Amino acid sequence: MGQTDYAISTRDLRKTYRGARGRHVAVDRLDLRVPVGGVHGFLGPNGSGKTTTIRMLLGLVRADSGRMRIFGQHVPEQLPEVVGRVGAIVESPKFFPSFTGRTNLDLLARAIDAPHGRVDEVLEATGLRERGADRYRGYSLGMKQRLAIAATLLKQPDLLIFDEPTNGLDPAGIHEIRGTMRRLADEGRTVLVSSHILAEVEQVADTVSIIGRGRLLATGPVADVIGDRTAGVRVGVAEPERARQVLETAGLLVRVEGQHLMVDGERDPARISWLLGTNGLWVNELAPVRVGLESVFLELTGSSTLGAEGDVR
Amino acid sequence: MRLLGVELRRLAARRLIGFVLLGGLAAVALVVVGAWFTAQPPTEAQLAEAQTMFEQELEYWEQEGDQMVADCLESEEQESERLGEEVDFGCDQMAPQLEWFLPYAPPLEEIFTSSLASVAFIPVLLMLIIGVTATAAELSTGTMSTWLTFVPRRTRVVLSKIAAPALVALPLTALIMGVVVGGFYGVYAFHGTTGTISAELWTEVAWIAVRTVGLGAAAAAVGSALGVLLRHTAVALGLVFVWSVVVEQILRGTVPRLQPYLLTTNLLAWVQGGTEYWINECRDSADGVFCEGVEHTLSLGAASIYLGVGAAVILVLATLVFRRRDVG
Ligand SMILES: Nc1ncnc2c1ncn2[C@@H]1O[C@H](COP(=O)(O)OP(=O)(O)O)[C@@H](O)[C@H]1O
Ligand SMILES: [Mg+2]
Repeated sequence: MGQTDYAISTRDLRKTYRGARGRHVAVDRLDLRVPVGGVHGFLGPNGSGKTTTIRMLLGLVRADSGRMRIFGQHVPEQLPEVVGRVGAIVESPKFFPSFTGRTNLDLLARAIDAPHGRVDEVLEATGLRERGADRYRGYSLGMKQRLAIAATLLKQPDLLIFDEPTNGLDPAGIHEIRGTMRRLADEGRTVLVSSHILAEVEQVADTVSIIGRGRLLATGPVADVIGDRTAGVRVGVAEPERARQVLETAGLLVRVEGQHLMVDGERDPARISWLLGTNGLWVNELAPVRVGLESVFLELTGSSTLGAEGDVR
Repeated sequence: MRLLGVELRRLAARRLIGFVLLGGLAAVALVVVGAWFTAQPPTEAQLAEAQTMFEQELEYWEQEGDQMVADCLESEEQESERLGEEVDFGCDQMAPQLEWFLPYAPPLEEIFTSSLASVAFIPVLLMLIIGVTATAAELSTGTMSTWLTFVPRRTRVVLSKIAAPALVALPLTALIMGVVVGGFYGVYAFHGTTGTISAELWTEVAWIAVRTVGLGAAAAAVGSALGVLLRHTAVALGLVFVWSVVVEQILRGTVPRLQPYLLTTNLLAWVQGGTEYWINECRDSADGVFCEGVEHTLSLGAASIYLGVGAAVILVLATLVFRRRDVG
């Protein structure tokens, strides 16, 4: 694939922050590739360098070394050429509290010379038309998030970057944001969404990249990276001890958890039920247990501290 | 240019500008009201009282005046001999005058030449505040990062954010100075005591106003640069306050020789079109160390170089820092 097939690509991207306790590597030789089109989940625990990476891509923060491209253009050098195609919300929406939603959008629209009427369009599209004349200060978190999305749409962007967009939102708000991201992707745009919660992203993302301690751990289609990583199958059976012997004889890894058995690493519940059934053991519960993001990280790295919290080098 | 237009809109949308303008107008209104009181001609009662006291004094003068003048002339001569140069004790002006017993009402001319320059610092300070908050608010609320995702060319961004408050400061300072000059004149016109203001004085007043307007714009620009550098309104204003009111006043007292290099002296020289300061100079003489205050002048030219270079350094520094800085 050529560089232009990626909406975002980074090579050897590195950023260290200098703090009171010395240097602190936030992003470490990161090679990130976000294909054009679809939703790309950018996953990692808190402090793993997601926001820092996004800030570097947007030219807000200076990288120590490495290269970055957006739609094939080198950034930050060629950012002025490509920024019109990129809408981004970094961390939380940031607007002037004392200005109305409309004034905030209007200033941004004028800065990029957006066509007349664009502000009304994006207010309408995000359901903020009625509240556009209210001060931003009085907006709920969900409305702030919607205004931020409205701002990104002023540019009619090809790439949208949302940094933990559901933080602090209620389930309805989360659902709404997910719907928005899906819709934007279906319109043919690329959406990069960062999150520290696996469940939040896997439902909507087509592809993912997982980072820990500023390093890329895994990348690819959701199914390849996390889809099949079930931790195992939980088995409820009347005679757990005998069932364990049967399954172990068949070469499976079994742990007893109270009245249940955990079969680690087995992805196919049907095989378990067949094994037990043919031995006259009747299964009353059979549930694949999915893993949390933390377990995926553990599996991917064998390390338990992936957020860079308190990590000083 | 488009960015400058947007920044002007942003400023216009900020209520703070309105508050600052109102505050400035209220402050100068107070000054004008104060002038109204001091410019009041004496009342009948004050006149009558002054007349009585003047007559008593005159009576005493008629008896003792000759002797007092003679004593005065004698000490004047002694002092002149001691110093080896002519000194003037003003012995010929000892006869009592009626004004001595009346409350002092400075003539408009004096108000224009001395008070105007100090009142001019009100709008200048306000423009500094406008400049500082314009940029500091954006950096501390984080809206700057939203802005930069729309306009990533940092030099243009910072220049537009510095230029806009400076442009806004021009009409605002002009308005406030107009109110001050008009107010002073109005007060005296009301009392019927304007006297004749010469064309030269009017020209001088006009120049003070023009230089103040220029200084207001510069203060707004430097203020926004300080906002960029320090990121917090309170920090930037605190720094300016501590420097000009505390540090410089201490320096002025302890190391008087530094006066021509102090910001406050230069600001005064700029507004007034040159200013005087005194330095105690001591030399050894026959009867020990002899000190006297020597008057020096800080010229308008020197002050404009000092202020111009200072402002340029801060503006360039702010631009360079902003270009490189990580924006959170
Ligand atoms: N401005 C900063 N100064 C110093 N350290 C920072 C700064 N921003 C982030 N960090 C540190 O860099 C690491 C990565 O942070 P961040 O990119 O915000 O992670 P994430 O967005 O994945 O939670 C963290 O350890 C964080 O403490
Ligand atoms: Mg983050």
